[in-house]
Amino acid sequence: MSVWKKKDLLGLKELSREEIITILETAKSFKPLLFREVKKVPTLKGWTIANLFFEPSTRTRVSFELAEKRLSADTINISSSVSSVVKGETLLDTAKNLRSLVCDIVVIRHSIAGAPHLLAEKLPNVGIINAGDGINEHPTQALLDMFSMQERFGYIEGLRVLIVGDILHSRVARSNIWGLKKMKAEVSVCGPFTLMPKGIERFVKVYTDLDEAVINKDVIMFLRIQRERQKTGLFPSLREYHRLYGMTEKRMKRLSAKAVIMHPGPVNRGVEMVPVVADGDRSIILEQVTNGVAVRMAILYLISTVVRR
Amino acid sequence: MGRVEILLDGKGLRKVLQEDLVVPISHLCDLKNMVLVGIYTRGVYLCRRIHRYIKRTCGVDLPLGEIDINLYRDDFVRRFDFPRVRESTIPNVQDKVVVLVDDVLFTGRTVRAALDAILDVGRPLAIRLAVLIARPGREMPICPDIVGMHVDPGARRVYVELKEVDGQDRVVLR
Repeated sequence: MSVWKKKDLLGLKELSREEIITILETAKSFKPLLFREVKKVPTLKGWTIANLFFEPSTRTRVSFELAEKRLSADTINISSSVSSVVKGETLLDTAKNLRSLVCDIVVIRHSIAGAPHLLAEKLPNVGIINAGDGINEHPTQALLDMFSMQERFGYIEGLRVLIVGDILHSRVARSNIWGLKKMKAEVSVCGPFTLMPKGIERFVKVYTDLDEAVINKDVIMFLRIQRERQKTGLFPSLREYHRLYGMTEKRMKRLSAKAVIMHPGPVNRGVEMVPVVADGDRSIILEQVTNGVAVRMAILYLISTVVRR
Repeated sequence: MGRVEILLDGKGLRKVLQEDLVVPISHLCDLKNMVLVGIYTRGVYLCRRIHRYIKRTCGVDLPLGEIDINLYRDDFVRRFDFPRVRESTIPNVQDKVVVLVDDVLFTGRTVRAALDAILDVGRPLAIRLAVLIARPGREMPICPDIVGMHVDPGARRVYVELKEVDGQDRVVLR
């Protein structure tokens, strides 16, 4: 376990393998706390954390808020629909105001890639955590996914992970590919050609046939189809997408004996997978949700050891 | 580094542990009611040894806990480069007598943090404190119940070294 030195968590691209291990190990220590009678420690008592969500989110925001409260921090939540952003305030002005309110850590989700990086640069005494920036990265999601894999299999190195769906628009896929490659997992992707980033075959194996892709995989991670993109003609219909790239009971039979199904949520039932798969014994979707809190506690804790040094 | 003065060698340390800690601890209360909890790092290893001694001499397998007080400390950012968090395992303490074990009692801040950590998992009947070494310098109103050895190191510091962590058993001033 290496010494943590980063003030911010911006993406898996910026993290070393050792830093990823430090986060996963720390999260492992935090997890039992979630099942105690008193699910709280006083570690961040007196700290103020702002959650800035300029894009809709329920699960990530709630997970962060819970992690912050379990560490005894005071939290404020700002979402774009109710904040001054609709009145035309720029991101930098919002940041300056947060500095004046003396926040210690800012969690930010923004539709523009690089927004957290800008804040991190402009606020040198504030810890910045990326909760999803445009189509760039969603590091805490990838870290909780890796934590869930580590917990289920005991290792990540050599694990055969298949990511299925809209790879092109998915920050979850991007962060996972960065992270899993650093952890030496065997990563492959599957989806329609129209939803594949150009040149991705240089980094990971690419499948277009899901029936072939699922064979001999340990983890099959489905990405949410962002329904809003359906109108842009990247694939003909949700029904056809489901037929080609959705997990069905028939396809489940092709899986290896220990393979698990993951999904960052929320699941479009009947699109990425049929309900019996989402609710079945191979699915670890709800474990991912629990692990998300432990992983975010670990990240907040590690960052707090740097911010006030 | 300065001169190293050996206060206890391996044999001495084990003798103090056995005679001045294990014996009084085993008489603290009915063993059926006792829980042992060690504080990371060296308190945990001392605690495991005490646990083994009591099992051997009294035939009782006491519940054994280990706590990491990093999440409860009042000075964690100031004192350490990067306090690593280890998993705390605290057994059921409800209505039990908890014997808290650490290597050196100095300011009392670690014990203060450990008390908070224990009270977060239940309400023990009592908490007792057993330390191998007690030295002056308390900053909290904390008093040990069982002490292996009192030491006044002056401007120097007391270090307890244990085989499990340091490769050898001894207590030194440095």
